[in-house]
Amino acid sequence: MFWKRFKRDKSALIGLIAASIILFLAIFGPLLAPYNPYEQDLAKRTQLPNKDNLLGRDAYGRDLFSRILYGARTTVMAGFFVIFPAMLIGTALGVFAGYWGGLVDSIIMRSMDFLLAFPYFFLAILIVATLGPNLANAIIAVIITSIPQFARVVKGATLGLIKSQYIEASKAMGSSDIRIIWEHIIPNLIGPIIVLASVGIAHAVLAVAALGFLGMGAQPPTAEWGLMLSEGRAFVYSDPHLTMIPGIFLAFYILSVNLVGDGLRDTLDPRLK
Amino acid sequence: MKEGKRSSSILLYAIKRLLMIIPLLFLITTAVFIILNFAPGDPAVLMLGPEATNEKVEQLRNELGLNNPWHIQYWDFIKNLILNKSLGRSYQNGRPVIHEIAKALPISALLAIVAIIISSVVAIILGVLSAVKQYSFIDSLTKVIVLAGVSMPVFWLGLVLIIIFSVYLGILPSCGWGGGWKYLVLPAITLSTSPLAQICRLTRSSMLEVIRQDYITTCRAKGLPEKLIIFRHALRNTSIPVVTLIGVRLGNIMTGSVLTETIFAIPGLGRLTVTAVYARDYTMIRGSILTIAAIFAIMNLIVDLSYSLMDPRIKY
Repeated sequence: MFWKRFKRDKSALIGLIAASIILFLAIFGPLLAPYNPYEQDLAKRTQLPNKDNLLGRDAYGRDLFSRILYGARTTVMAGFFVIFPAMLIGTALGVFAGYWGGLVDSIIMRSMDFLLAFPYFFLAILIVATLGPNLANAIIAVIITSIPQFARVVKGATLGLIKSQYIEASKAMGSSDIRIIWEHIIPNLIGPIIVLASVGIAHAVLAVAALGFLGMGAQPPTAEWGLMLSEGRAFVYSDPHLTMIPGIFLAFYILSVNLVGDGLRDTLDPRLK
Repeated sequence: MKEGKRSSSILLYAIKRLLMIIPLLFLITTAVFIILNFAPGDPAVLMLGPEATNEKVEQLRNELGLNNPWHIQYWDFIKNLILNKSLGRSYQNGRPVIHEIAKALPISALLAIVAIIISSVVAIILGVLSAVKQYSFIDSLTKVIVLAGVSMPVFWLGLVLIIIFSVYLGILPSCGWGGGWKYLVLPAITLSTSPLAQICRLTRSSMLEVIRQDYITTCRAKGLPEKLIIFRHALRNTSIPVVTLIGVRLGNIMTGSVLTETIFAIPGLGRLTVTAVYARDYTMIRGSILTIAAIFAIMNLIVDLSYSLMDPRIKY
C-alpha cells in the first residue's frame, strides 16, 4: 500500500535510486576503489581526470576517485550516525513530555527551547569548540542540535494521541504507562518520525560536511567530502576540479535524499504537503 | 478608542517579551561560561606560543584570571558586564571584545539583510507565478530552483560562483570586503539561495491553497482584474506563514553567514566566531555567542509582533 503510493511519485523514485547508488558506493567503496586513498604521489599532483585516474588527483597526488569512494562512507554514514541517536533521544523526550506533562514536560521542553535559542550551527560550533575538533565530536554536536526538532514534533503528536478514546480505554483496563506508550503511542508516531528523519538526514550530512569544511569536523588526511572541498579551496584558481568534484557528489546525495524525503512526506503525511 | 486599546495591548506584550529575553541571555551566558570552562587547551599557551617558558605562561594565566576557580571568573565576568558594559578583552589581540563585535556586526547585518531581500523578492515572485500558472514551464523551473537551493551546500555554491565569476569571467572579486557593492554580490547571492528555496516553496503552497477559496471566486465573479485579485486579495492572506518563515530565516541566516564569510574572507560576526574558536579565544567566543543569541531572540520577537500587524484577528 505504502510502496504503491510512494512509487507513483516519479521524482521520489528517482531520488531513491540515486540515494541507493551513493549508499552502495558508501558500503562497497573500499572494494571498488582503484587506489589507496591516502597514498601520495607528488609528481602527479592536481592532475586532471584521465584514463588512469577517473577523477584526477588532488593536491597531494592522491587519487580523487578513490577518495570520493572512501569519503562517501564517512559523509553518508555521518548522516545515519546523527539521525538514529537524535531520533531515539528526541522521540523518548517528546513522548515523556507529552504523556506525563507537568514538571517532566516543563523540564524537557524548556531544555529544548534553550537549545533552540541559538542558531543551530553556532550551537554545533560551540560544542565542537568545547569537545575538540574531530569527526566524532562534530557528529555529537549535530546530534545535540537535531534532538529538539524530534522532541517538539513528537510531543505535539503525543498530546493529540493521549486524548483518543482507545488510549482512555486502555487506561481504564489498567494497562501500565509503559505498555500504553509502547503499544499504542509509539506505533502511531512512526509516520511523522520517518518523515522528520528523512529530512533530518540531508540536514545532518550538510552540517557535518560544513563543520568538516571549517576544519571542525573530520581532520586531514581523512577522506570526507566537506574536508576535501575545503582542501581544494586553495586551488580554486588553478585547479577548480578539486572543489567541483566533491561538491557535485555532496549536492547529488543531498538532492536525492531531499527527493526521497519529500516523497515520504507526501505518502505518509499528506497534511504536511 | 478600539485602535488605541489594541496598540497598548501589543506594546504591553512586546515589553513583557523583551523583559523575558534578559533571563534567557543570563542563562545562556552561564551555560556558555560553564561549557567553555571544560574546554581543553590552555589559552595562555596558545597566546604565547609553544616556546614560552612556564613562568611566563603562569604569569599570563594570573593576569587573565585563568587560575581562579570558575565561579570567581564567572562573577568577575558578570560584574564587568553590568558595571563596565564590557565583555572583556580578546585573548588573541588584547582588544575589547565589544569593539571587535561592534566592527563585525554591521558587516554581517548588511550581508544578511541584502541576502534576505534578494531571496524574499525573487522567492515571492516565483512562488506566486508558479502557483497562478500551476504545471506551466515557470512552475517546473521554480521546482528545479527550489530543489537546487535546498540541496546545494552553501560552501560549495560560494566556490562555484567564485570559479565562474572571478576565475573565468573575471568580473567580480573573489574575496574581501569594503571595496563597494561589487564585494557584496557573490556573498549575498550565496547566502540567499537556501532561504530563497524555502520561502518560494511556502509561498507557492500557501498561494495554491488561498486561490481556491470562495472569496477569490467571488472576486473573479464580480469582475476584478486578475492582478488585483492575486496581489491584493490572495497574496495578503498568504503573508503570515511567509513572513514568519522570512523572520525565522533572517535569524538563521547567521548560520549560512559563518560559511559565506569564511569563503569570501569577510570580516563579519560569523568569521569572528570561527577564528575565535580556532584560537580558543574564550572571551571572544562568549561575546559573539551572546550577541548572536540576543539577535536571534529579538528577531523571534519581531516575527511574533508582526503577526498582529498583518492579521488584525490576532490579539495578545
